[in-house]
Amino acid sequence: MSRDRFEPHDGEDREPPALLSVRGVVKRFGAVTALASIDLDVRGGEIHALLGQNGAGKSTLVKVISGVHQPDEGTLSIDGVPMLFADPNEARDAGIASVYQELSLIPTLSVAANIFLGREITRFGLTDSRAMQTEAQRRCDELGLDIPGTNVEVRSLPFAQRQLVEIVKALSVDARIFILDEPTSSLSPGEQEALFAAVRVLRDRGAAVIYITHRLKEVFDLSDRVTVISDAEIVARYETAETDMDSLVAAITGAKQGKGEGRLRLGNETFGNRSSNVPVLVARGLCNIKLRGADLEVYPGEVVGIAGLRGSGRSSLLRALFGIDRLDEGEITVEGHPLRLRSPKDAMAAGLAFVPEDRTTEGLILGHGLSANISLTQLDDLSSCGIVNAGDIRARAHEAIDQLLIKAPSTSALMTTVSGGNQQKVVFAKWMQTSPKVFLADEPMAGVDVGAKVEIAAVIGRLAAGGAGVVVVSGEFEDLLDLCDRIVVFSGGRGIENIDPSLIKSENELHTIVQDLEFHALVPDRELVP
Amino acid sequence: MTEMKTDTTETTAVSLKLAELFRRLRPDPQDLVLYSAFIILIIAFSLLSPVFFSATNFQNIGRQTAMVSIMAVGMTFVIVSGQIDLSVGSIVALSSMVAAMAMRDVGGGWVTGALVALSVGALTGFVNGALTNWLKIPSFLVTLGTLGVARGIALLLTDTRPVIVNEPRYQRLFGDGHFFGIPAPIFWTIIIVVVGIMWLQRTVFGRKVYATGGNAEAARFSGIAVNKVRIIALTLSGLTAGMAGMIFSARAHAARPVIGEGMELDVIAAVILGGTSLFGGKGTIVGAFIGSLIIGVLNNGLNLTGVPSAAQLALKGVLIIGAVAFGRR
Repeated sequence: MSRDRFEPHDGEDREPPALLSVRGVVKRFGAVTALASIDLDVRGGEIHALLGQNGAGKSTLVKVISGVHQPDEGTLSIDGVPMLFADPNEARDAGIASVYQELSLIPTLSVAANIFLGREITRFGLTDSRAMQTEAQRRCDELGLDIPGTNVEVRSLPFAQRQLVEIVKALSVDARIFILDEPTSSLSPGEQEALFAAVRVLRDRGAAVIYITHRLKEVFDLSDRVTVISDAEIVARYETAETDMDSLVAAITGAKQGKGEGRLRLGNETFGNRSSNVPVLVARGLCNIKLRGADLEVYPGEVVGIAGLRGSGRSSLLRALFGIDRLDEGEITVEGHPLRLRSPKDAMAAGLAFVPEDRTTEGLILGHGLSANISLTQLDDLSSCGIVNAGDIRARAHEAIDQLLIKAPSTSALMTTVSGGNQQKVVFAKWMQTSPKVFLADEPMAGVDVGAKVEIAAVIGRLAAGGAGVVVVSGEFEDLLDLCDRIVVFSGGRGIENIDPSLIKSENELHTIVQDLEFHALVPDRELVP
Repeated sequence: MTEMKTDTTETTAVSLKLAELFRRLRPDPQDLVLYSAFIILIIAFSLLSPVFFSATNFQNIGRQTAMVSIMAVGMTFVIVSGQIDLSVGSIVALSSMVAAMAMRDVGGGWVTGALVALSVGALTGFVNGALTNWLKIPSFLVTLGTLGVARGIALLLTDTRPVIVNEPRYQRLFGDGHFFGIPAPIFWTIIIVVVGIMWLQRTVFGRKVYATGGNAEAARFSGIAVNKVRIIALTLSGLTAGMAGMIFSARAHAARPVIGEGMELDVIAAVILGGTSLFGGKGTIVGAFIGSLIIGVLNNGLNLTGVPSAAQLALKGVLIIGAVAFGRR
């Protein structure tokens, strides 16, 4: 490994030498070029943001850096020493730590066991679970991660907390280069701050941090430099302090959008308001383990946002409305007809649709093709006498591809081969085809790029304009403000406040309101519990 | 289609035609490995044994393999839906024993026999499905249990003695007779394979089976009653095992409580050989059928070439692992 073939490249005058240096990296998958001659320098002691639309090549690039993929051409060097990683273990040994979008935790092992997986603390040759638990707890505390205990199994944790464990795991490795791929996509604002603090500590220790995100705000909050990838090539490099939001959006979308169009709002003509004064969905006094007397009314043609902190019951509300979580009390009516929900099937029959929080485990069958996934909700419609009509299924898929601008090589393309934004569009497509009266969406924008976000916002607008009542849950308050006609703040398992988004000036204002309400709402609840 | 030249041997002409047929049926490169393995086996045994490549011997293979082929159809539903059924061998014994006793004691001839065999099979399969999905016990454990229970009952019924089947029509319909010149066991195999293909590949239910095995959570969230799908899949497996029991007792003119022992492994091997994922969500009945034929050809060919039975067992194991490993690359 010590053969010194590193050639300092001419022309560029870089004061701090790069810790990680990528030169002319090319990666092809069959006929598709995922990376076309990428050059990237990441210095020690910097946070380097990597931006780009889904499918632009960001994930491929970090997979090359972390040894998951091997480049077809070009070199990687660390401290000027060329490296070739045959697998992720070699990259890890060379000091590269990664947090992936897809969780790499083992669900049946405890939090502590996961954090120390592969480098267990041992005592007399046996694993010392107590020491690992103590140490894991310390690291969780450092990151402000609030979990029931480090000896609980990862599978018992909610999705967002699993991601936090993943982050703790990666950050506690003794590494010099850290790759964080959309680490905040399911974190609450407080957890994000804790994560940012931890990342800054890493930087100040001299580590190089590659930070992939779709949230431009984070770029400005956190990063020192930015690189934008589009269509397998690097299209822009900036010092973060010397650029602005609009330039970044322009670079990411290939300047397809002009100034100020990075926002989602599509104008009033797209976002219908109530098209009727009779609510399409009424929920009264919903109670279960997470909900405490939640009420909700949704009118045709409106987009209702559910804001709230995690654990406020915002996701539980949708799961209960869709018949996934059992209700102990409460009643739900759709167009005046009371529902008895025993399963999602009943909810679907009543005209409800649901885009779940985690598209890879709940929304899609990843190993199946696009048309198979889209047709799943309309099999009865696409068949006669129980025999499916393959032609109709393909036609539906083509229709969806055209309507939602899904980028996929064919109608039979496996879901594992398309990007996150396109996966999400497929989940939307499979429900739009059922012409639902009420459309429920949990975190519909999580982990999708700016371009796909705008398109998904347009889809939500179209659903509402078509007369459906839409309910959107999101931890991204900015998205809620842009999308919704009305926002209901959830806390302690019920809606506690209705907000008109046009009266809210900024995302931060909404955060403040939500946190305030949460605080006040918690006080009486505490008194209820002896 | 290019015309076959006369200088090509009959063997290669047939195998080329087969290859073309299979390619049209399902052009997955992984499956081509399976089909090539099948053809290579046929060619190899044809060269090694003078009697192997003949219509009579192929009919033999078909008759001997019928039970495994029929059960492989039901098993494909089970495995594609993300479950497993270890009890099919025991269901064969139980259903054929009960059916034989019913024909002897109740009368009613072949109608009684067929109804009882199929009902006992389907009922046992339904119990498997109900326990798996209502009590949330993994199908592996449930069917491991019923493997013992069904076999135990079959042995207890007559204190391990066989029951003679003396119903000429039953024997003709499911064992010794012919339909359109096709031996009955092969005829029923073809019927069940074709019905299975249509059902799994072309119907709404089939789609639901794939979805349930591919991602049960996403399937449930898409309004599919996954428990129902899984229960039906296990019931179908029991039903095909009951059918296999009929074929056996009709051919042997008797039901024996020990038949079908270890047969579940041949059936599962056939399905997995055929490209079905043991984790569910992927697989075809055509593949499972070819898989069962490979196992049948192996059994038959190894016998004809005089390989001792102990060596046969070992060789079969090696070939199965080899074929799967090669196909999975």
